[in-house]
Amino acid sequence: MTELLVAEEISKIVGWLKKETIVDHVSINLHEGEIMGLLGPNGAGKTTTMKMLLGLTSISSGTARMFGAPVPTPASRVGVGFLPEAIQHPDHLSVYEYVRFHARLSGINDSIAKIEEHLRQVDMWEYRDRLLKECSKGMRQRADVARILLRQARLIFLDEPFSGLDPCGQVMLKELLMSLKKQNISILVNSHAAGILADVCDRVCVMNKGKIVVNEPLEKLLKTSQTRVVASFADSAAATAFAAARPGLSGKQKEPAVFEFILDDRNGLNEMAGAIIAAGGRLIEMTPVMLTLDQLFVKTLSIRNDEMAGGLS
Amino acid sequence: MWDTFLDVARHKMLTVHLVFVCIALGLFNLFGHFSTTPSLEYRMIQDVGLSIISLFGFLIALFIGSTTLRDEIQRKTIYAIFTLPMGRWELYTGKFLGTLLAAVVNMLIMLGILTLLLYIKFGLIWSGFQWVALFMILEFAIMTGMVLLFSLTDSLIVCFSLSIFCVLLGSMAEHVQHLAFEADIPLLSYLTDVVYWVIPNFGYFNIKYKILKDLTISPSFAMWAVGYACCYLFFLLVAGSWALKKKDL
Repeated sequence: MTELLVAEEISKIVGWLKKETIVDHVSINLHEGEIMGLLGPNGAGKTTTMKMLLGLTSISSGTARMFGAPVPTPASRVGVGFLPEAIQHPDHLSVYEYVRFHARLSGINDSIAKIEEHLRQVDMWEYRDRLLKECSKGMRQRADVARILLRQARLIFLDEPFSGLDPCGQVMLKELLMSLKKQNISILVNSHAAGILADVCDRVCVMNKGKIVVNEPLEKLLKTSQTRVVASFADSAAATAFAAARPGLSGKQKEPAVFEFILDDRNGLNEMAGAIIAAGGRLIEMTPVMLTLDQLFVKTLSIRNDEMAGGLS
Repeated sequence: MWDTFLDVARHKMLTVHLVFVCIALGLFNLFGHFSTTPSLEYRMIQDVGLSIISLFGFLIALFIGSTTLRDEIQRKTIYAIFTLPMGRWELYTGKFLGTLLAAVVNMLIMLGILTLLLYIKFGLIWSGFQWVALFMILEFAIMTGMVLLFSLTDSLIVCFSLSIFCVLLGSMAEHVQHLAFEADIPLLSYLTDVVYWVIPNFGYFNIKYKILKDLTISPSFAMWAVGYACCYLFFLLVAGSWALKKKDL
């Protein structure tokens, strides 16, 4: 896959007398058609990283290239779209006028057909005459996506797109992101909403205190070495006896005759299955335990903070 | 440029200014009745009218120039523009031209009202109209460029203070030069000399006394003023574009 975005060791240092590192040697690669989630607590440097890549803020050290052109040259922004957080739209414009205004700014000729095409793509064509001030946040975001698509963007930056959206709006935006992915459009999403990102991202970067602490494919990140085993027994006494015979095994009684165990080591799976059958039980479920992105996020940050605290003490 | 102009034209403040100017001109037309001769009355209206137009032109440049870029940054709409494959100088120049166009259109409307008042009252067509318009455009262009440059500072108060300070000093440039000659302390003389050369000299665009005394404006004088304004504007636009390029958003 083609690499659309390559950032190598980029840093942002601010302040004159007292220098402060906001982003510390961050490296990111984004491939064509990939959705990458940028996760992190407030002040982790996610938005600053995005702004540096977009040329809105200077890069103190390191290099970045988009579409092969060095950032922040105008050539690096050809085919790039950005949806900032909490943008205040020009309320006096209708959805159609807003998108047309951006088409004109981008120098797009014969824009009428293209505006219709992209407004239909984001399900906003029927609301084209509605003033932006009368649109919901979700609708305004879709209008923004239309103006980005109009420029034939191949790489889209979204800064906290899910904040302030109701559940319906979140679902619609998720579906929109998935449809953009199908068109081979790459997306870098910066968000706190780990649960939502898990549904759309291929890769996740977790940032903390200006540094990237995790940068892996989502599937790999969420996978654990644990396995959940659910078994049913003839009666509750048999189930309790089976569990009592294995004190080292963490388990819980789901129903009177049904037990759920968590196996830490996959090598013990065959032995476990054999023991259940030998005890007259029936194997109901045997599935690998996956973390949620929220759990991973909290786990990663707690480990990281513990390490930092340890380093300081 | 055009979008900036339309945005500015929508600004309610402009309407307020226009209404105020109309009222003020009407009032001063009334004051003209207190003068002893029609000629003196004519000069009084011209004098007061031009001063008001000049003052309001500066206020329009100040209020619009100081907020046009700042508002875009605060509303984050500038992000959508800056992520387009264009240089920041293009946006800056567009903002300057749009703001200037708004100030010039307002000035022409005000001048038109003044000319009309003079024609209605005295039946005379003002012969120096085109010169006044030209010199005011040059003056407003420099003021707008200056305000836009100062608007890139972090504080609106700093922008206002610097703009007003520079316009006041620029209007008294001849006195500043005189002070540089007269100063006994070498450092003060040097500093005032630097200020004289750095601050725009609005004296080059002040043709009010020539208009009031019906003096002719020589083409060489006009050429000098146009040349000076173009050079100064070029400097202001380059400085502003550079400052905007370096600004972290």
